[in-house]
Formats: sequence, C-alpha cells, structure tokens
Amino acid sequence: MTNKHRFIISFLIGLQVLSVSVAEPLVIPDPTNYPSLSTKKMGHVRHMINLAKQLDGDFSMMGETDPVYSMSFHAYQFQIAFAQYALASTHYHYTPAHRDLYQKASARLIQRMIYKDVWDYWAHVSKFDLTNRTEIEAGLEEMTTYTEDDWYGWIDPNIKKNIMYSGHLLQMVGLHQNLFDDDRYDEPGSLTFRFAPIEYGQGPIEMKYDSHRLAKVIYDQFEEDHFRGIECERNAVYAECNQHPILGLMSYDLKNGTNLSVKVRKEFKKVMRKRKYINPETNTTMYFLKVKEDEVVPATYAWADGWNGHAQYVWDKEYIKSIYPDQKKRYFPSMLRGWPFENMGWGVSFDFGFFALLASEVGDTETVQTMVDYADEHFEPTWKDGGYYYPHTRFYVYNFFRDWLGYIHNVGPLTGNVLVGFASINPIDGLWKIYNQPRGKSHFAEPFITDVEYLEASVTQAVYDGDKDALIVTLVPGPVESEATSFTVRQLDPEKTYALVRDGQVLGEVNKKTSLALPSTKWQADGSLVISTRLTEPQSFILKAMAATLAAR
Amino acid sequence: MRIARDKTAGEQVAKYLCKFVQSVCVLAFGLTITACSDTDRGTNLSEGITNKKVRQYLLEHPELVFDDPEIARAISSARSARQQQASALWRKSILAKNASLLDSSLTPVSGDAGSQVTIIEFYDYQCVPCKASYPELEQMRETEIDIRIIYAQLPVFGSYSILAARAAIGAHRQGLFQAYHNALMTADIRLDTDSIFAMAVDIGLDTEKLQADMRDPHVIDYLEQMQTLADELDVTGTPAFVVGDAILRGGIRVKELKVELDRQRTRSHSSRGV
Repeated sequence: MTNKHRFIISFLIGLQVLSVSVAEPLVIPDPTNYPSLSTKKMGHVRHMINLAKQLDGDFSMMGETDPVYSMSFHAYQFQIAFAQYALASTHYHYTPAHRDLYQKASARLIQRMIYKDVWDYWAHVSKFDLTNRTEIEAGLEEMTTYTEDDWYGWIDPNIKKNIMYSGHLLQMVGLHQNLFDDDRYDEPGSLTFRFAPIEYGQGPIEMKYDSHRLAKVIYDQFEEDHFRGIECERNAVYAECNQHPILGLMSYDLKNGTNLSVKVRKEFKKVMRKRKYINPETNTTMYFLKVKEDEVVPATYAWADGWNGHAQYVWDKEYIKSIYPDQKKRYFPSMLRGWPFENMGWGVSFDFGFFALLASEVGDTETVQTMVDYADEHFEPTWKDGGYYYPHTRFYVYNFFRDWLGYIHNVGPLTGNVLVGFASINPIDGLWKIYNQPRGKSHFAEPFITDVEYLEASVTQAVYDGDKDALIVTLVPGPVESEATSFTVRQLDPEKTYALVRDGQVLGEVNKKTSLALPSTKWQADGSLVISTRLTEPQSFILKAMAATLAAR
Repeated sequence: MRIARDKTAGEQVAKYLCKFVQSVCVLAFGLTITACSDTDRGTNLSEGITNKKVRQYLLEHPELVFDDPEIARAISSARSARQQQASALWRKSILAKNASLLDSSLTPVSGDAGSQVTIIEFYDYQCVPCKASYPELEQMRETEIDIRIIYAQLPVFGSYSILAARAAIGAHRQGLFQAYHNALMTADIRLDTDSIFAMAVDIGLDTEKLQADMRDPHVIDYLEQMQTLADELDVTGTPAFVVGDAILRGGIRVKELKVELDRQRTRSHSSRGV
C-alpha cells in the first residue's frame, strides 16, 4: 500500500468519525423528567434538617415528655427516627447525587437518638407492666398491679425489650450505612449511651454498642421470644414496633452478607398469621399482644394500620397492598370530617400522620394529596427558617375534639414535624425501593455535588443519569439572600468534556484534563469543579458528557 | 422484770447506737448507698467501732437511713457533691481534649492565656438572655483581673444567627472582634443580611474580606466543631458559661458569676497547696 492509499483511507475514516460526531446532536436531558421537590416538600425537608441540627439537648418544637408514662407515641425517639427515614426517602428518590447534607443530618439524628433525654425514660418504664393500668378520677391512667419483679427496671435501652426504641435505632443505623456507604457505626463504642443517674447514687454509666452488637442483641431476642415479636413495654408486643428492627436487620444483611432478616421475616409472619396480629376479618392491626395472658387485644386504629403497614410493605408488599383498600374504606372520609365537637380519642393525630404515610408508600397519591391539602388548611402550617411544618397544638396530649364544623385541628409533634411531610415526599414504593433496590457500590463512584451553602440554597433535585452520562441539579434560593452562591461537582471524568447547561441554555464546555473552564466555573486541585451562580430564583444545571466538543459540531 | 430488764438493755443499746451513729454518721452517709471502700474497712473510728461494723449495722437496719430526714439530707448533699465533682472532672477532660479548638486562631479571646480562671461563653447573637448577660460579663471583664473569656459562637436561632456568628469570626480575623461583638450584642433589631453588614461597615470592617471569610470552609467547619464541643459539654441552650470546671446555664448577673469565680479561685489555690 502506497502512502497515497494510506492517506486516502485515513482521510475517509476521519471523515466518517467526524460525520458520526457531527450527526449526533447534543441531547440535553430535561430536568422535569426527574423527581424534584416542590417548594413545600423542600420546606418539610429543611424543617427536618433544622431539627437534626439543633443541639443534642434542645427539643424545642418537639413537644414535651408525656407526664404519665414518661414517653408516648409523640416521644422524641419517634420524631427523630421518622425524620431520618423521611430524609432517607428524600435522598434516595430526589437527591441521590447530593450526599453530604443528608449524611450529616442522618448522623446528627443518630447522635440525637442516643442522647440520654431520648432514651432514659426506659429506666422508669422498664419497671412496669403497662398493660395493667386503669383510669383514675382525674382522667389519668395509673399502674394498678405490680409484682415484686416489676419494681426493678434497668437502664440499658437495648439489651431487653423496649423494641420501640432499639428497633428504630437499628433501622436508622442500617439506612445510614447503606445510603452513604459509611462504616462509622461498625466501630466498637460508636453508639455509646451515657447515663449519670443521681437518683441511684451511682457514678456515670456507659453502655457501649455498635451496629453488630445492636443487631445481635435484637436478633437474639427475636429467637428467644420464638419470633412472636419483642416487647415494647413489659408484657406488650406491638406489631408495628417489630417492623422497624426487621428493616434494620434487612440493611444489616445487605451490608454484612448475613441473612438474619430472612428467618425473622418468615417466622414473624407465621406468628402474625397464627395469632391474627392482623385480623383477617377486619384487616386491621391489633393494638398489642399481652404476653403473659397470651391475648391479642384487637383494634381498629388508623395509626396502627398505617404504622405497621407502611413498614411491613417493605418486605410483604402484596399482602399490605391487598388489605389497604379495606383499611382506607374504614377510615375515609370519616377521619377528615365528622360530627361537630366529636371526641376523636387520643390517637387522632397519629391516625392522620401514619395513615398518610401508608397511603404514600402504597402509592395512593390521591389520598395523600387530600390529606396534605387538609393539613395545609387546618393544621396551621408555618414557615420557619426555610422549614415548613405544622406546629403542635397547645393541648395536643389531651384535646382530641373536632371543631364546630367537624374538622380536626389537633396536631401532635410527630405528625406535625415529620409524618405529614414524610407522606408528602415519599413516592410510591418509597421505602420499598430503598430496601429492595439498594444502590450498588458503583453509585458511589458517580458524579455528585457537595458544599452547597445551606443558608443560601436548597437542592430540589440532584441525580446522575448513567444512561445519558449527565448530572442534573436544581437549586432554589434558601432563607438567606445572597448575591452569589456556589456548589462543587465531584467525580467528573477528567478525560471527558462536559457541556454545562443552565436553565436549558448551553453555557459552554469544561474539561479537567485540558483545564477548560467557563467564567462561572473553577477546577480545584482535587479534580472537583466549583460552579458559581447568582441565585434569585430556581435554576437547573446539567453537566452532560459529550462525545465530541461543541466546537467540532 | 423481764420487760424492765429488756428496757434497760434497750436503752443501753439505743444510747450506744446514738453515740455510734453520731460519731460516724458523716462518713457513713456516703457509705450507706455505695458500700464502704476496702481501704476504709479497717479504720478505727472510736471505741473500736469500724466502718465495717457501721456498714454491717446499716445493712441490718436500713430504716435508720431513710427514716431520718437529717441523714437523708446529708446523703443527698453528699451525693450531689459527688455528682458535681464527677461532672467537673468530666468537663475538665472534655476541655483538655478540645484545647486546640479553644486555642484556635479563629477563637476570639479576652485576657491572658495564663489567667487563673477561664470563662467560656456559649452564645447566640439573637438570644435575648445572651444580650441581657452581655453588660454583666463586660463589667466582670473590666473589674476582675486574672480571668480569660473565650467567646464560643453557638448559633442556635437559625440562619441569621449562623451568618452573624460567621461574621463575628470574620471580624476577629480583621482584629475588630470586640467592636463588632459589642455592636451585635447591643443591637436592638432583628438580624438579617443587611443589618449584619451594616454593622460591619459602621465599625470599619473590610466587607469584601468579611464576605470571603464568612464563606471560608475553615470558618464553617470551626463553627460545627464548636457545636460538637457544646454537645459534649451538655450545653442545651444559650447562653451557657463554663467557669473553670463548672457550668452556669442561662442568663446571668455579675454576682452569680463572681460567686463561681471565687469558688474556682479558692479551689485553684487549694490545688496549688496555697
């Protein structure tokens, strides 16, 4: 072959490559095709993050400790745990490419969860069999029977019973580890409980846990109890409380390659069916099981169905889907409007919040929207420092009555701070996907953003689309106005050239290897790209890897 | 007779016990709950009465402890003292662990490093009791010698508190912390971006540099570390004053500060053998 021939062949190949490149248009993904948080949903997220950022011992906006039992369904532990689950759902579905904010908030919530004021109720509650109680004249309940054994409780909130606390902690730790590929809770003592009981004349006590010990303690109790469920208070097994440790064990299995959750799910389901934890005639979840009496206390509580259902759905989807229509029929629309001044009972706020959460998980978007609209109309929504929530009503522990038009206004802190927001954010199969379609290790090698100034900007979507090799980010202004804000993009491929698109307009291209940048961008030594912008209204950014440079087009 | 004899014997026992309890009750208070330490067990108290015997007696007659209000009070007081001591030790260890944070160039300080007592004030520029305590602390700063005050930013009232805290660190970097701190602490307005910068301009801060410092990741990280320290010290709100190894929570007056300061000084003297 002569040089002339070689030249002609090379020329033809080059022409073909060029024609392919030129023929391929720059296809920019449309941000509206990706999940995005609305203004109110973002407000709910910010409110929960604001709660996470409070000092460990600052429970303002979170209600009071129940005067009767020291804890209740309004308790801090539930607010903290469900806030973490809600943020997990947000991160997984809307902002998987924005980790640092959610990872920090999640770690803060776990730190708050192990703060003494959240769990030291157990030193008191562990003494009593709460199933034996009666109402006294003042309308309060008191424990009426004690045994000698009952007088001695214990402090460690995880070691035995109290699954209403330890189960949530395990779920929180599992979510954190898998969503953020973060091993910190594997370290011995990473979950250290500090207790300084002046009442007992003892010195300070430390109880050291980590994810492994916590999972073992809980699994062992499931086995000891023959999978009938671990007690919350003495003598009381609640179905819903046992769903959270199951989800925690599912995460544990995923991370550690064990299969603890498989046996628990199988055996617990058997017991649930045999003892009718969910009554097959009414399709409603029991109140609780009295262990000593071996007696299931039946119930028709929307909160029990909502609470148990949204979590059991994660591992028993078809069954929960099959009973949901019956449950909805039972509670709707009567939950929303009824007789004027009707006494709705102490569970009215939980009924609302937990049922909305179940509706979101099973994908009944119409019901969710109806309930969220109702909350917006009747629960006095409030904006505070970029956060959106429904402040708890003054007498939420005692006042359960409808107003003169038959509406409910009573909101407890769990529903107002977390549950309604969680329901509005959580898409169909929201938790189910987190557990059944977990992100693989490759997710953590994809491009993602960090260092968004929390005061100035909120990220309503941040997703890397692998098929399109594009990072899609939308920012909206935060509570503090600023002339300019910025965010950092990490793990871009230094070999690739990316088109930077803002609000649909191609600004130009960037390339780390050739130090190609734009006036609003700056490459850092570590390979990350800082993008600055003036943010006065929502702005979307897309970084799209290109097959050829724009100039070649 | 039997009854009389018994009565006499009872009186004798009671008398003995009375003397017995009186002579050792101060030491026994602590021992009643926790059991006496091994090293004390052989100590002769008086007339052959040992702690071991006291302990044995109290184990057999615990009602002596909980039926007697005076003893109960003494026990409570001893317990409280022990608790305070344990808390003080624990705080000392946390402060020692965080010495580099407290000595950071980002931490505004008033007074010499070698001062006898250090006061750390955790505060927020939008916290009303913090502002109310400000003139009291200032008075203390002017009148007391040998004290060091560390200004620990703990913005707990939202975004503008965080912004103000960052600006205060920025002012410190420009050597104008006290003037800016005074402006923020005495401002009778709701803070926002405009007011934070207006005050900065008023005292002559370079606002361009200030803005850059307020975005400096080191400053942001520093404030997060300060919150971690506050959490470790179990500070649950603002203001909180760590005076030596004690902690005073909430708004404060000079008088109260002075009492704690004197207590710390006395202890400091004692520990030095003065």
